[in-house]
Parts: sequence; C-alpha cells; structure tokens
Amino acid sequence: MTTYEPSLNPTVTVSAARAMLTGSGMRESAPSTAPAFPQPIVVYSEGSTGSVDGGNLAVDELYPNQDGIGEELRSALRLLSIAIQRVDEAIQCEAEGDLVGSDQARDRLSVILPQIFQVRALNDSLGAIVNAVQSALENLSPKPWTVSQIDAIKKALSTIRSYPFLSFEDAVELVTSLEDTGLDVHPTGYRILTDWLDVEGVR
Amino acid sequence: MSKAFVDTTVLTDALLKTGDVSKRAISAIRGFDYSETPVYALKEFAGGPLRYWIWAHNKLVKTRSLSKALLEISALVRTPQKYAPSSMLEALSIAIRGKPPSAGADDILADRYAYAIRIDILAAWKRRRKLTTSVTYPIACYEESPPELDGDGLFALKIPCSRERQCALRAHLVRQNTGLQKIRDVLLGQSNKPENAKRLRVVKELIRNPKRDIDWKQCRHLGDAVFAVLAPPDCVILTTNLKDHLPLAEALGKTARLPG
Repeated sequence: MTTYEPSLNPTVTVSAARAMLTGSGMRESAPSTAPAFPQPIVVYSEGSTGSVDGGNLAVDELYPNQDGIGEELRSALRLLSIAIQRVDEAIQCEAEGDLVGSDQARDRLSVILPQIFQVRALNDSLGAIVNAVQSALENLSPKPWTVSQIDAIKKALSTIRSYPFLSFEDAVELVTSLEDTGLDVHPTGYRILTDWLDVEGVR
Repeated sequence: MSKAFVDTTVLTDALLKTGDVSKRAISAIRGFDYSETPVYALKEFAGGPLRYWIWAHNKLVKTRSLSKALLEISALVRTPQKYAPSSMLEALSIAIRGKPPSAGADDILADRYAYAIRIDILAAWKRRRKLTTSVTYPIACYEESPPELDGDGLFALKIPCSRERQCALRAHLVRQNTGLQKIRDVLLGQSNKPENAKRLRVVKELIRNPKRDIDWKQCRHLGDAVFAVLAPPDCVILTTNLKDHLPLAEALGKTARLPG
C-alpha cells in the first residue's frame, strides 16, 4: 500500500489531502501549512494510476465510523448519501412505472445538489461532478429522465461518495459518461459564452 | 470509399461545442468510411479555440464572478451577429435565469462555469487524436503539451509553436508548388479580406522562395490554404467555413462540404 497518489492533479499533496480530510477547509494548492494528521492516508494501492477500479479503498473502508474526518467531508458524505437515496427512489419508481414518483424524486434530488456544491472546496472533482449533475437536471426540465440517465447519475454520485478525493481525470470520465446518455452537463447560458469564444470571435 | 479531411472548425465543433453542434460534427465525421485530421488542424485548435476556452476558464477562476468574467471577456470578443442586439446584458440574464436562489450567487455561477469549461478542455484534449481514423502530416515544430493547472488553479496559456525551430509546414507545402500557384490565383481575387491578404503574401513568398523558412506567424496566416493543398484528392474537406474553403479546394480539383 502507498500514500495518496492522484492520477492527474499534481497539486494535491499528502498534506493537502490530510488538511481536506481533517476539515481545515484548505484548497488543493495550499498544502504547506496543513496540520499534522495522526496516521498515513492510504487511498490507492501500489501501482495505482488513480482509477477507481481495482484495489483502491473507498472512504467508508478507510473510515468506517468516520472518525477523524472533518466536518465538511462528513457533511458532503451525508448529503451525497441522501442524493443517492433519492436516485434509488427514482429507480424504484421507474421500475414500478410510477413516473410521477420518479419525477418527484428528481425534484428532491435537485434540491440537495446545491447544498453539496457548497462544500466543493473539499475537492474540485466533487464540485465538477455535482455541477454536471445539477446542470443536467436543470437542462432536462421539464422532460422526464430516462433509465440510462438515472443510472449514469447514480454511478457519478456513488463514485464521488465513495472516492471524494477522486482525480480530476476520473471526474472527466464520469461527466463524459453522463453526456453519453444525452444529458447536457453545462450550466444555463454556457452555449452563449462558448459561441463568443469561437474561432473567429476573439480579436 | 468515402474520405474526409477534417478542418479546424469541425474539429472544434466536435471537441468543444455542446449539444446539436457537437453531435452534427461527430456524426458527419463518422459518416465517412475514412477520415483524417492533419496536425495543422490540431495546432490551429490548440492555438485558437482551446486557448480561448482556457482564457475564459482562467477569467472565471481569477475573478470568482461570472458577471466580471463575462465583462472582461466581452472586451476582447466580437459579439456574434445573432446576439448583437442584446449583447452582454441578455447573455447575463440568460445565464442567470432559471437558477434556484441557492445557486444564483455570482461566485457560485463562476465556479459552475469554470468546472464545466475545465471538464470540456480536458475531455477535448483527450479525444483530439481519436476523432478521426488517422492523424496526418506531422509538423515537427509544433510542440503538443497537455493543458495543466498551476498552483493557483489557472491553466497555462501556451502558444503551441516553437519560436526557435524552423516551420516544418513549409516542407509539406512547397512539394505542391503547382497547387500553391492555383491558391495564389484564387486569393488574388479575394484579397480585400484582411486574412486573405496576409495568406496571399505568405503563399507568394513560398512560391518565390520555396527554400526560405517561414515563421510561426506566417504559418498561422496560411490557414485555410493548408487544408486545400494538403487534402488528398479523394478526400472531402469537412468544414463549417465553406465560403472560404470551397474556392480554394475547387481550384485544386478538390471539394469541401459542411458537416451534416
């Protein structure tokens, strides 16, 4: 086993990860003054490239009772669990043909996502994934969501719940998998900005 | 067998644009049996659209305010014609419209946009060489380096051309001197457009002095002419800029078409 080794973002150091886990509220780029942490953080196994598949430990395996983790992370994990429950409710409703119930679960999920986004300072991957799901639901409205879209949302939220310090490279993969189901993961108005940035647009 | 030679506009639509624009570009490329991206398109993509996306990302991260970032961006960007009457304020209102109160704060919106752009930049970079069947016409002086964040959360704004090395594109082009002469003749009739005037100057220079090096600026000015010259005769040039590409392609007995 080895210490925390992000696959993409070299600015996340062990001390920064410790600071994030202990809830000091520090961003990735400010590791030097991080408080000491009582034990090594073991996240990825030897030779890991940061993928969530294979020998990596999920946060619940690392901290089964959530002892020693900070308030922000605890809050994020709690809210993500609620969000996943609401997706599960939607899956159940879809299976029973209850489209109103599924839509209601979606509304309840939509309410929780901005709260999770408030703790995005924990990790950019968390912020990016929650933003993508939130944008997807906003753009989808008022159309119903499909089973494949619900599944993709569940996978994204479950992964970031299990691996809140997921690499950004893995976050890109998860967001791409949301788009593959036809979801538009960009905030409202994004298209206008990117039209401005078109090839001929900038002086 | 149908073959496509993908230009920078279609590459950009496929890699960076959202929704139907992206789908149309990808679907058009996949509609051909074979497709290729010249490295020159990757170079233009990295030095143009991708660089502008990075610039916008950095504005959002730096200002932590969507409204401030948009104001700073609008100072350097020509508003597309379709948004001309309403411009900035309409864009802002559309951007903010429909947000739940908890998600309406300017700094939150800035972060949301920044995350979305960052995802798009990295996803585009990852897919840039996988979009077509092959990537052709390597250019040794073009130094590809992935976009990476610095300690402040900003991407480096790199110019992808080496200033020190000689432009390697020249060698590809001067082999086709007859083609260059035909391109020159077309451009002579279109030189009222500033970018065509610059292009014409470089093409003339390549015809006159095929052994003389061109610099990175001249390489950039060549633009559409590169695609017309380098596209294999049995390939269709796939572009959203048909107005500029088609006359050049037709002068060389080639063709160009829009995606979709």
